Amino acid sequence: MNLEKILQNDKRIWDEEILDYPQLFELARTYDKELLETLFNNKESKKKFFIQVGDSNEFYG
Amino acid sequence: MDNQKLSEKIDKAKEWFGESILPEIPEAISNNLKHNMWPLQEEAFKNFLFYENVKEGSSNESLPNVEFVKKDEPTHLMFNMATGSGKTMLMAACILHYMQLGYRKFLFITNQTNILDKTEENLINKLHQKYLFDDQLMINSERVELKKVDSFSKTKNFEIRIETIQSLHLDLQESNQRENINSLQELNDLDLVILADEAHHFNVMAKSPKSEKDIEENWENTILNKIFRHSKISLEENKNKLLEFTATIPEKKNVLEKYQDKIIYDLPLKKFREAGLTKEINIVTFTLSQKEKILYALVFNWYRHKVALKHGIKNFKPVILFRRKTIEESRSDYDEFLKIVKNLTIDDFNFLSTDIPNKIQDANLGQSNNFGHTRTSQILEELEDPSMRNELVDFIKENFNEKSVVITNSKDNKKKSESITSDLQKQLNNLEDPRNLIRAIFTVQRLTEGWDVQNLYDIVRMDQGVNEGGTNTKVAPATVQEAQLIGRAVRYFPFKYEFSDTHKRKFDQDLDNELRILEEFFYFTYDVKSRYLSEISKYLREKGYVDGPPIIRVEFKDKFIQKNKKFYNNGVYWINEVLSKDFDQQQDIDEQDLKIEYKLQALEIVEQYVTFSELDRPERVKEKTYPSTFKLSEIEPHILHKALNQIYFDGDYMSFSKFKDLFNIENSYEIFSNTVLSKLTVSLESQYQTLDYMPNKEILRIVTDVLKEFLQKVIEVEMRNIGTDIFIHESLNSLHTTPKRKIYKPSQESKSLEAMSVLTTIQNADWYITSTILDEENTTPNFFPGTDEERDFCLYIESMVPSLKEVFKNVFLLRNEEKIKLYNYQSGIGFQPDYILYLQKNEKLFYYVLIEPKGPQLINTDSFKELFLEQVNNAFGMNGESLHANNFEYKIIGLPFYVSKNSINVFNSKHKLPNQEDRSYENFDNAFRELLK
Repeated sequence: MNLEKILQNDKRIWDEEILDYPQLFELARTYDKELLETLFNNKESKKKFFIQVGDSNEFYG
Repeated sequence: MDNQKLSEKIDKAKEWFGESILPEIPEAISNNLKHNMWPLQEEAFKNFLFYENVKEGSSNESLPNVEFVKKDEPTHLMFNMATGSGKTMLMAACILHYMQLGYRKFLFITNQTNILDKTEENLINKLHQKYLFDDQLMINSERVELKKVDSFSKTKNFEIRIETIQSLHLDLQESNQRENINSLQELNDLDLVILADEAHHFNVMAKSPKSEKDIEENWENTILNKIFRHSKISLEENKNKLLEFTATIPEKKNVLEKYQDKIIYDLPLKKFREAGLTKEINIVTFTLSQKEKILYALVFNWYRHKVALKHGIKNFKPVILFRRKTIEESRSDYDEFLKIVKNLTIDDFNFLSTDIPNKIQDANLGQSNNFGHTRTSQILEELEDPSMRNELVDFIKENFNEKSVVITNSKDNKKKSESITSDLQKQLNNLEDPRNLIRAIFTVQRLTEGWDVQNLYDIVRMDQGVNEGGTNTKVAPATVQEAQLIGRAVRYFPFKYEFSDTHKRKFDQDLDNELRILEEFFYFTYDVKSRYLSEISKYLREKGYVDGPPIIRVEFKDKFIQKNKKFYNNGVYWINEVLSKDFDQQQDIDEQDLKIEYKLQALEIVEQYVTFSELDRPERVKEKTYPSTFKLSEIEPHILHKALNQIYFDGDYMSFSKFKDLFNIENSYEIFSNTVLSKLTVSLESQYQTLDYMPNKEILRIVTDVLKEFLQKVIEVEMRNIGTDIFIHESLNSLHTTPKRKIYKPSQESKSLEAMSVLTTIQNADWYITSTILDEENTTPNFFPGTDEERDFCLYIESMVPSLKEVFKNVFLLRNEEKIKLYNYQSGIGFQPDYILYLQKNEKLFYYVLIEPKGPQLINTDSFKELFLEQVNNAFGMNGESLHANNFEYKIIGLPFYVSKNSINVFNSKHKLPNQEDRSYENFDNAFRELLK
């Protein structure tokens, strides 16, 4: 899974061509809606970062 | 003259002949470097180029023929530059210079193996973040490679050997000769460029006289007399080069004499720090338990992370170092640390909210270096919100674990000294890399010289004892080592913030700004109240690490408050309300703003042979310059876009998305065609008749500067509100609730007897209601904290006070200190009048007089302020509308600029500016005397 590619359109977490890791972790920590949607909408990252509990999916990144 | 360093002689030459004797840095060199050099690096490199060009008899006619350049022996120079000032970058530039000249074999030597790794990453490893060359090296129009080798080949390849001086010395011993290693004979057949790093270690001979046998066998002799100045050819024919680099030349007479005529550039740490290129050091002493020490440092780490996130500072990852005297103790600290983090709860931080202020103390360093208490208070404030404590615990648990916390001693190391894997060494040399996980380091003394780190923000000294071994006059060696470790941490972590220089401190004038902590380094140590602390402070001060310019604090005088309680409690100051408005590029950008003047520095040419003993100042001949005008839209698009990319074209402050909205455009190409930028005209004065003759690099420089200036103005205009004529009041006693603190750099003039006499006058005067105090000492400064014009104005008021007191019940002069801001009616530009004079006419009426002392050179530039003062005066002055607050009536009076008699006379005798005939000292004086009627 190429996480950088999956996240490439989220301008908030890029410092020119370098991923801004502290910002990414902060968004993950605060369950940022846009980030979670991006991860959820990709098959591979959904599998890696979400767990299905009943009818819902829980983010455990 | 003979006692002067080479660098001082070059400075002298610059002074006599003008800066233009220094060559420009050739594009062939700057284009081959990944990053631009800093101005101080450029200065150093130009000194080097000047020396070498004179030595090689460059065809440049503007070069003076100075006697201090040694033409009859091989070049041997020393760059004596502070830690972190970028010596390796200079080394890279020097390599490129010699590659251009045809040199192909480079020998890098130093005394420590960890420096070898770092150098390899800087000069050889293209994939490394800190690789200094451009990805593709172009030498004399050919693509080339600089290859690392163990032994120089006989080919024409560009090769570099990276060795410790000890191993090179051993390799050249006859008993160690072997295949695939260059013999001395082979090295002597080459034209070598020798680069010696941390060169202060190469002075065994100069340090103490040795026997002939010792000299023969030591490695300094190997480098100097066997490789560099070998006997195979004469010195005149010897084309070898030896460039040495160090931050610290040993202060021994012999060594200093050895280097005097070789120091091509001298950049002491003090100068480097004063140029704003370092962090500021703070030492905090504490009486905390070992666990609390760890947690205290972690809280600082979290707070920095939090501030950086809040302000959009990208990839900010502060690192902490925990220092110990012994490997065993360090290992135990490391294990304990991981245990603490694993079991961390919010209750562990209770010690922070109780009596932490009593347990910490700022060491008595310079005034810019005592912020432990201030930052702790800021952190405690942040932690008042209980949710923050949970966040803090989460942050620490996520970021400090076995992967990100390292110890500089491998588990299986059985030796007495520390030992780490080369992989860890590489990671430690690259802590700034966003992918680098390391957040904390436990060490004894593994990390000293050659450790290149920008994001080390805190060092915690875990020992509680004193370093032994010093004397009353000499600092203990272990303390010197600790101070040197602190020296590693002063490297500035560059970050973008608005338009400020990425590589420079940004908050020297705003010390209470929360972002300031991102340019401060903290050294935490147990409060032993012993020789240790005073020693380390002394050492740091002597070496220029601390003691910056003083911080002043401005507040109301106690005497004034006591004697004038009614006025202090009921008096007010006035500000006008502002209205926000939408930005309209066509309306809000003036025609005038669209015309930018730019002067490209002209060359000065001098032709004269000199020796400094018989020197007459030569005539300077300015190269002819030509005026030309062009529109930005006429410049080639690729240059325009490169310029845009160079001026901080990302981040929140000035991003493309910001301009997209502001100018209503779809892509960055439209910014030059469909916006006001298409009308932007540059009036250029340069040595080029037209742009066609100008190198693209120069055009890029001009366009970048012009764009930066213009877009900054656009953003200011966009953010600007419009001032209204609705004046509202605020309580006077709220003005200095938080006293204004700022770093003040006093001029020589401000320390003159005259200036000090004015300071004494205003500090004692009952009519001057604020006092200026040195923040740390709580004493009066030994300088007048203001401009010459402000000083003269205070004298003027003093002379007028007797007359004023005849007419007015009370006279109070308030120095504004940039706190009371008014907004211009037309443009919305804000300004803060320097002084407000309160004149109490009777029980009910105050004249509230706005006064702006102004140097004559600024009168025209700031004329909008004077116009605004006049408008306010017309509306609310003697004949205007009265304002009321707390049962007082106020007349707001705006006066013309105050210009002192002396300065206006001096200025008028030298300059002739438009409208200058109308300007005189009397403008202000007449208007002021009207108040007495």
